[in-house]
Amino acid sequence: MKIPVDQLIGRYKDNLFAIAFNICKSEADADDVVQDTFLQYHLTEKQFNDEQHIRAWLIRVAVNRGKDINRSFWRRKSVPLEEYMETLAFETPESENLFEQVMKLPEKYRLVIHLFYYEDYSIREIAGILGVTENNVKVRLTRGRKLLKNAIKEGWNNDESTDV
Amino acid sequence: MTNQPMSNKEKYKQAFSVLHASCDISLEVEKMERKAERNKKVFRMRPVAAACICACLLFGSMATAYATDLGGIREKVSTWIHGEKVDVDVTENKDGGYHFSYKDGDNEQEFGGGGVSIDENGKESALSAEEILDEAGSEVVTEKDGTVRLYFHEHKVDITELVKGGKTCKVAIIEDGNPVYFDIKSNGSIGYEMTRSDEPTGGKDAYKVVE
Repeated sequence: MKIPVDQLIGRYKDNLFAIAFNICKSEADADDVVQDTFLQYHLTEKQFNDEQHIRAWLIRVAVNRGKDINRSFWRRKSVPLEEYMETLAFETPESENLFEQVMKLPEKYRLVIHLFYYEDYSIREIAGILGVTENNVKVRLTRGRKLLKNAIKEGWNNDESTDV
Repeated sequence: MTNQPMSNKEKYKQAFSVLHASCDISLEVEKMERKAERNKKVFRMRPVAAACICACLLFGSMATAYATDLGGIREKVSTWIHGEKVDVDVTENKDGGYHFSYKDGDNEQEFGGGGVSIDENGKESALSAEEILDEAGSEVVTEKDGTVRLYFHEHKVDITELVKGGKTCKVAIIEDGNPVYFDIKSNGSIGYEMTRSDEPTGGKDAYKVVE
């Protein structure tokens, strides 16, 4: 099956943007990633099993594209994170602090944290999307949480299991 | 009624729900295809031995934007483009990049580019125009008839069969008696990602040798 790209743009562009921003820390680069990801979808002849298959594929492509951009010399000039954050309408100061602390995490922890907490993927699903082992995802998740807990203290709970 | 404390997932989602993609993500197929064509022409280089060379050339509309800041020293450099020897006019701009132009038949071709080399200590140095053009002298192109061809200086190697099925194509081209190793992999419909190195990735035996 294939869902028309304009429908997917409406459903997933913000999710892909958040993933891409998580990797690139740049609004302009994240927009490029979103556009390129939908472009690849538009051009691919791949057939998908269902919408969840498409969603996982889009995320995988966006992750790879974001990493490509990070590796490439030719990056668009980006606004410093602090400056960009001033343009965002956070609901609470705690949200703003959480956002800032997540963005300070190393990329490998940040991305796993994002896929787990924002996209609601399980450890097994994250391992499949990133092409790493489940154990590797667990380690990254545990370390990322520990760093967040140290940074945010009572603003981050201790009660969640990784056994999803 | 008591307020339930938010879970970490709820807190996280609240924090990151402020992120939104640009409103002008293009829905137009034509624009998307134009962008795909443009992306095919972006060169991306990877580490060569101990040092790393990163160079990028921009064609078409991107080159126009790039070329807005000219006025530096002009020179002529002889180089290889699409397997043909051409004389390229080079103008340096104040950002350390270059504007390149050359005659292709009756047409004037223009592009812009720049790059850096990074030594073992992470120190960056701007590449010269010759170095950038040399890096750009290797290119993977899908021809109009579907043939996928690797261009490296005067060499033109048909790699259509070698890149089929998403395999990494490994080709060693012998130049001046020394092998130059290429690892080429399809990057979906966007184009090809190419690594060029003086050292093979894995065993030498995996490479198809071209004299």
